[in-house]
Amino acid sequence: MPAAAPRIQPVLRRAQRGDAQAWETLLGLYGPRVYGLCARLAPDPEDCYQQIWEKVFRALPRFDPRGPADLGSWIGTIARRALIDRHRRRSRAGQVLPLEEYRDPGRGADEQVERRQRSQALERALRRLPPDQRHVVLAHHLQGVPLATLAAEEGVALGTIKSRLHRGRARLAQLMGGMK
Amino acid sequence: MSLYEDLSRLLDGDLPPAEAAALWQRIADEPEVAAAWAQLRALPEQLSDLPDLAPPPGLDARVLAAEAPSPGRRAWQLPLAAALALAATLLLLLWPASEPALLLSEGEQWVEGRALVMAGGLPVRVQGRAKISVEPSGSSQRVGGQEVENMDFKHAMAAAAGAAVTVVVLEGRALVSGADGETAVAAGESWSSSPEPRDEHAAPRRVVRRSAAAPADDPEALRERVAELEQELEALEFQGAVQRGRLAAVEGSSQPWPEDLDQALQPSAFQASLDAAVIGREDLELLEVNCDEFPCYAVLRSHSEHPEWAHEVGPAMKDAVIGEAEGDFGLWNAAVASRSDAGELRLVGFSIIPSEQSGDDLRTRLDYRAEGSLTGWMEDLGPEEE
Repeated sequence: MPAAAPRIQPVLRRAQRGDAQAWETLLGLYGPRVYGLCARLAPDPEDCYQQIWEKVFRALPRFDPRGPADLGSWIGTIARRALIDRHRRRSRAGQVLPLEEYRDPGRGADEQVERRQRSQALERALRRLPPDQRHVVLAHHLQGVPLATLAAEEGVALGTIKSRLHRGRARLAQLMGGMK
Repeated sequence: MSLYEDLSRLLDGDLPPAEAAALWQRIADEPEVAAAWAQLRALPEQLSDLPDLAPPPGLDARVLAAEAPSPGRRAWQLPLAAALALAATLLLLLWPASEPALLLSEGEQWVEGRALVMAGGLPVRVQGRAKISVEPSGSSQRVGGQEVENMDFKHAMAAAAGAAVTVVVLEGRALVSGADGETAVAAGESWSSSPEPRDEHAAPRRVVRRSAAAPADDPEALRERVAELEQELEALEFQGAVQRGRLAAVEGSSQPWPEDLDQALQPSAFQASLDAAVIGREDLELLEVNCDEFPCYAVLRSHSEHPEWAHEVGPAMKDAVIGEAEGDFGLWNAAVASRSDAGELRLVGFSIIPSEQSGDDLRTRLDYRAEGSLTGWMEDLGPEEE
């Protein structure tokens, strides 16, 4: 998340008073990061995105810019907690797991094509992770959240979070084309 | 614990020293282990490089327009809607009954002469020649461009908060009425409520683009201005394409049906084969066959007690569908299960992909489509939420 630089402060103050244009500016600044999380972690990214921003706007008057978290981190925390809640609700109804990977023929030689394919393969491999592993992998590596923080947020032991991370990374590396 | 998990622990320094030393030795001695180590070591950087994803067009507007208990939201939303409704009502009252009125909530519309257009909820009065484009929000009513005798304000207002409206005036002038007053757009000018490219600290999005007005009596200047406007439109379309490309990395894109697709994988044959395969089977139930896009996929419910139930279905269904067909076919398979007091609900997703059709985008799309179905069925058939 981008840091709450001095220029954001006036926007933040207006947003906390419910100013629509200020909300729109916050959506422009932080929306793509939030949507990136929803698209990768939720089966219904648009609903997820709306729900997270609803929570953000409701809680915004309580955000203290002098506190320990900058605005971006604060929004990221709300997003993660909302995703955890959604995942817990979904878990009661089960989770989709891949059974068999269908492999395509050889990749093109062009480096740019390869990079794009690698990125697509990574996105696809992420979708094949069980949601709890995907959440830890993305929160830790994409959002930079310490594992201890994730353990506290999810209410589980640090070892559980580490186990999910290692299993998730192991599965990703296998899906990305490593040895079985 | 797998080799890959050990390598992941090695990466974070979570292995005991003796195990770490043994693994380093294997990395040094075994090329396959070294390759796996390289793959794993590259992951953190690859993951941190994943791009942000722009929300689909109109989603931000829906977020802003959504009904919410927040006093702050009510504080602006109601006056905005009220102001737009009032402006539209007054305009209609004042507008001569003989003038054509048009309701446009999606698409493009050329207007010549004098007309009132309700474009995505915004009243636009045209006198001259203008092109009006509306890209609606996902939640708005999509009624297309249609002439109406009585304005449908409900539709127009529903679209007002989310639609992106562009007005390009080639001759004469247009008057756009919004919550913040009226804006006159002259020949050679364009007005847009489309989002600007989003950079840090971007300004609010409703903008008017202007350039030096081209004299109406100078055809050459007018032509140049039109060319400029066309370039601007191309740039906007390009930005849209970039956003769609980012989204495609997650959702994939719709795949065309191959012209030479094997008969066995044609929708009717696919459905018939699966219907036949589950007849008389008490352990398997066909819930859905989806052929909206290529390839078809199916969702089946397993009542099997076999511990490997998830792995039983795919190969059996593949045999049933492919039969004697020649060629190389890949099996796509996914499973989902949930336990409750009522027992275990087990669903399997199944599809067949000809090897020559394989590709990242196709699989991404199939994952996206089928996962939606599987989770939907889980919600429909699964235990009620607490």
